[in-house]
Amino acid sequence: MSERSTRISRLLSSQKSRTAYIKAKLGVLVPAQIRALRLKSTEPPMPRQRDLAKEAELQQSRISMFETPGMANMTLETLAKVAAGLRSGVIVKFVPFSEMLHWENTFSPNAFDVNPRLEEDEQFLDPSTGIRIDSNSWFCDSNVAGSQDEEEANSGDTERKPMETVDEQAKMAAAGAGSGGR
Amino acid sequence: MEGQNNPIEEWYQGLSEEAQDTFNALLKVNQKADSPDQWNGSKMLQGDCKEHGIWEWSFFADNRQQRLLGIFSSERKKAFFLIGCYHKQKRYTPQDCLKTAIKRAKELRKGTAIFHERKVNSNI
Repeated sequence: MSERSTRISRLLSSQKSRTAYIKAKLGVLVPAQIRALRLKSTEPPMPRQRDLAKEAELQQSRISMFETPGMANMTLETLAKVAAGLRSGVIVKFVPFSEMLHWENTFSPNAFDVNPRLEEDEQFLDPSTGIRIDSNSWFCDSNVAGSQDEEEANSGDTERKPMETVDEQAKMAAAGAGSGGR
Repeated sequence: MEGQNNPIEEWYQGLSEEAQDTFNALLKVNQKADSPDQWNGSKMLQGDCKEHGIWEWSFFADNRQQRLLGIFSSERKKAFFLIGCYHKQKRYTPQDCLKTAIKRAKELRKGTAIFHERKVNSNI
């Protein structure tokens, strides 16, 4: 049985296993985002952790913790403070496992940025510039948001189709289609 | 690294499920970084280790600072892990892990060590 198949079986049967899986991904991807955004900040520049600490009104040691993979159990309040310091918004969104995996697979610390930051976010600062911000849509796209009905817009499936559902993954694993071996 | 043993796999199998997942997620993200200093949770060690180009990758799991000591390959986006350990109260366990890492780094560069490829799964 491949590592993947074994893991899928445990995910399906164990709440603790699911928790570990989700926590591990958040524990890596949240610190990676914070570090990437800090290093890409220009107004003000934040080459050192203490620069972000000042902006977020937190201790430098806490920023260090937040950038260490797996280290911090951040509260929503702290997450908001860090986002505020970075002049970025933040979304906490419940998604299918397949979408979480897709996020992990496509996330790149080199490519990741929040652009624009608040001071240059004209869509937010001056909505009259013509681009609609739809309150029902997580992802503001002037072409998509206007054409969706409320059910679709709230389904969490507005941006793309998940690669495959967990059920499909489990079926693939059972059929030996998984390639999780090292 | 030595003989047919795979000390990194042995270290990995001793981790909890959550720590294994964290390690895998960390590898998956860091393999996309363009340069060593962009690897999240990594830093070049000082002293003798620095002379041998040994880096430390750290993540927190199982109530410990888990550490992996290794070197970056000249080949882009490739690294060699030499030993897994943990760090608590300024002490490494196993205590001789820095010496072991240096020894293995030398063997690797001399071409006298066997290495095991670890592929990063994108499907889990």
